[in-house]
Amino acid sequence: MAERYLTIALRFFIIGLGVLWSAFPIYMVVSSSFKTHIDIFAVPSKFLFTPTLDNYRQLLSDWPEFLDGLLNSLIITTGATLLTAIVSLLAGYAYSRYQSRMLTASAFFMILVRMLPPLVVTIPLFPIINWLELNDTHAILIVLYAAFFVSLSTWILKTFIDQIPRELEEAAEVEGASLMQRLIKIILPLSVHGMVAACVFVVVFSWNEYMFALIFTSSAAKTAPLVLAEISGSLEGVQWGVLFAAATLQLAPILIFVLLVQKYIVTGLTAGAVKG
Amino acid sequence: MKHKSKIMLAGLSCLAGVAALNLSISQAGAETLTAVGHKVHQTTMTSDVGGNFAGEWAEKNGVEIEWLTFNTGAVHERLYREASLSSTSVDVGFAANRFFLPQFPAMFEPLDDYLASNPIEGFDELPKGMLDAMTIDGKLYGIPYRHATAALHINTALLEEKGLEVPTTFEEVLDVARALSFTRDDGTKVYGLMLDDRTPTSITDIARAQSNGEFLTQDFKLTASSPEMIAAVQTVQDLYNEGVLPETYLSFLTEDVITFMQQGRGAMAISPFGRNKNYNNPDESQFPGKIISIPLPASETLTGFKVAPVRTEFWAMFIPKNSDDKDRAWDFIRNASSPENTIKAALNGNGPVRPSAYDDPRMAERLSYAEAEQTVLSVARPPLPGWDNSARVQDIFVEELDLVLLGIKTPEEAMNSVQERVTPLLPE
Amino acid sequence: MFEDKRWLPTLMVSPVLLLLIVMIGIPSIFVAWLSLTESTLGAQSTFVGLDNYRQIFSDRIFWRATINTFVIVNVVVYAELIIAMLLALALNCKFFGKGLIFSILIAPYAVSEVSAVVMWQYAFEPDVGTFNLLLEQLFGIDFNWSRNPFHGLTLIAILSIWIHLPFTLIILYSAISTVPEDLKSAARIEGATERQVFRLVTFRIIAPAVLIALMFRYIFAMRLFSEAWLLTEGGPARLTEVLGIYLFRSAFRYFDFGPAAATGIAMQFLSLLVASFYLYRLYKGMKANG
Repeated sequence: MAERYLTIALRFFIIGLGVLWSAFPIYMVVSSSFKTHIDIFAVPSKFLFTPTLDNYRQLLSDWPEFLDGLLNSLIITTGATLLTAIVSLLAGYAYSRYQSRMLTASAFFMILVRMLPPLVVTIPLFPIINWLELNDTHAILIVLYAAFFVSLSTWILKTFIDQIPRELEEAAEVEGASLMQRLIKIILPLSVHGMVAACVFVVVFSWNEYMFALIFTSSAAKTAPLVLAEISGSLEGVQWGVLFAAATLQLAPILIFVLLVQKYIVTGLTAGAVKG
Repeated sequence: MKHKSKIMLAGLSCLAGVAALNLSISQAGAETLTAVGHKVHQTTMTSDVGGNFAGEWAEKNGVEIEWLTFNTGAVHERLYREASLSSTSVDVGFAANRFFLPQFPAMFEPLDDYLASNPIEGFDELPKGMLDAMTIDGKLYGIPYRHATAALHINTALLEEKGLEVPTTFEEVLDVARALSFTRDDGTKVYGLMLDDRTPTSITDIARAQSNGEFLTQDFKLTASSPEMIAAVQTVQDLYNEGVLPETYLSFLTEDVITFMQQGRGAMAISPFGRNKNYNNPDESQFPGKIISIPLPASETLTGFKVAPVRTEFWAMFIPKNSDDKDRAWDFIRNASSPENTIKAALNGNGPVRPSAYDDPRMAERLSYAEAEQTVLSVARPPLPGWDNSARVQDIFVEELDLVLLGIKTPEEAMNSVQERVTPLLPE
Repeated sequence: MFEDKRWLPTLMVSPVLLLLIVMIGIPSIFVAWLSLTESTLGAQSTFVGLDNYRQIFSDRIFWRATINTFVIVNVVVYAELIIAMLLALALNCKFFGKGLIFSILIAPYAVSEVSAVVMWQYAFEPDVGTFNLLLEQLFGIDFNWSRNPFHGLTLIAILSIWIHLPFTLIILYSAISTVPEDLKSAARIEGATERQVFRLVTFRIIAPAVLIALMFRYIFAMRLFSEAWLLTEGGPARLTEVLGIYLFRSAFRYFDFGPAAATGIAMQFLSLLVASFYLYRLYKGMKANG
């Protein structure tokens, strides 16, 4: 019995440490965003302070483009996610249900091609994209982000669809359902959790990505992380409070999103959903 | 098949939606002039303190100015890439002297013809040194807009606390810096002197204050291993080891200097005059109005100089060769560099490139350091020339200086190594 | 087994392949070509053969960056694996508020790199940072990452682990929750200790997921850049330089695209070297399934 309690204690000790490790830096930034400039740098750091919204006010007046940045991030994240979801569902299904040498080869191509550092890919991409006049559009970032995450999403969906019994489809096929009908009526509803799991990575990536956005956008499609970086690298000195406020605003929606879907992430990556 | 087309339709409408959004945003202004620069350029041209002269110009001409602002490194990276394309939407770009490239003729429009047909008011007043730095094969490529010249900033509250006087020679600066490096009762450390960075720019300031030394002249005479540079590096090493320079100097960013000065953790700093505003910013600083900015005093052994011939750096405006509206871009530049607008920009916080701007009564009234800055400007020089290897040279210098500060190399070994490594990188 | 339409699977994977070929594949070929040329902005590029490779291979900073990258990648990936495994095992039971706890644990994944660096820099500020003060008061450690390259690399690794741990945790936690409880109970009834249950039952089942997590993390970790650049810029004295920074300097500071491309290709080979082990295991797995 004593051993059991020890295990439980150990369990919660590990979890407690993990929570502290994950949450503390975030807590510091969020709480600092409600502090005055002078409180932010008080030594030792103040846990009790009078909260102020000044930083947020200042952010909106000095950096009005931050809101546009958030909107652009939203459009691009939504687009990239939809695109990734659609194409990886198709590919994931093919990899799960069919076998051929060509498919195996293409699966390895998918991983291989991802090994080149994205940074270096931008050098030739810049003139090409400019020539196509796709610079500073949402579309180019959508396609780029999707391209960099379809490998992972396809893999997750393949593993997920592997768990969906073929018998379900075979039954439908006997009743004369076409492939597309099976995909939409059987696979799609059953793989919602898998889709969420496969997409959460591209959602988070698209929301936070910096390098491609820096290189391929200028104003119309400028994303929030770019504005964030600009605030943190200002010639006139960093307005720390404003930076923390911007970081908090940029973090909040994605954090809420992750909170809402965390259940599905896990079930999506496991077979549980199908059985239940 | 019906479902297939539904999926396709859904996908297409997504893309169409995105495309429509793009269109609606880019069609917002009928005629736009696109400027690539740093946020500070936008603020100094559009702030209401001195006057939004760029906005007025835009209204008069029925155009909209689209500002694309980035941080310093990214401004250049972006501008040069855009200017190397077959076409670009960028009409005006800002670049700083340290980033100038010999490839400018392939990227930017020569401005001599524009200058002849539609001259800038009082052009002769613009500093020749700046114009020379942008002249390649006898053709001028840029018009200077902003200068940043180094000052000595002193927190007078800390000075009074320790009962010290404002230093008048460089030797006294070092003494005061040492006296102002101490640990407070609550454990906070105060550092006597802050330097902006570890690049040749900051170290050359010390070399010039001590002995009018030079690292690399505008005509590419490299004197990294000169006794003057070695002595300057020695000074920096001593200050670092004695805890006068912050411990974090090895990963310092310019932003950190501002934070340290505002919090009273830095007592003095050698940085551009314009920072005075940030150090004294009542919203952020714990010492508003207490930080004064004076010319960096020269060493008592340095004859012929009352103030040290510190660095001056500048930003200039360029027109990409592939811009589709060069006449309008020129008109924008012309307007921004007129004598009156130079003063307005200065009141907005810009470093005015016209010496006459300092004679305007509005300047002395608004800027406590206007006279001091004018004095320094008469002797200040650029820290190093810009060419295609200048970023590499700066990285080499920082690397070797770090080795000195870490105690791995002596200043002499390090500077000899800089001399050796930089020599092959100089233009022929 | 379904309709005998050979083109069908090909058609279904084609959008994915098209995306990859157009956005990554073709540019990669350009990169390979660039690595054989001398190329900069506003100038014609000229073919120089293997000069760029010779140049980077004879640069001692390139090798230092390679070693640093290799060390950091291994430390980061395995530390993540161990921490994530411990957390996943600890989480693998029912308790109140588990959803919230799990959300908090994966929250760092949602933080953008720019914000993350700001957070950690602030916490580890040598003079006033909360963590630095704690380290000094509790353990007497003067953690000066700006002066000490070892501390610098440690901080880069810590930051990297902090941001990416959730990725590994999500995959491992999901995998562990698929292990059927009855299998474990059966093993226990037969007298297996908890350690044996983990080794013989749990680990066997989650092994493929561990492989996937390891491989993707290796590939992602190899291109480590933002954390290192924003924290130390490779300093002091370029002692904390990693390959990502080396590449960035060439391409975006010196506008010298040839060596940058060559560095990119070298990084791809390094990734391939590490990943080939995992790819081989996966390939065997795929064949076994088929």
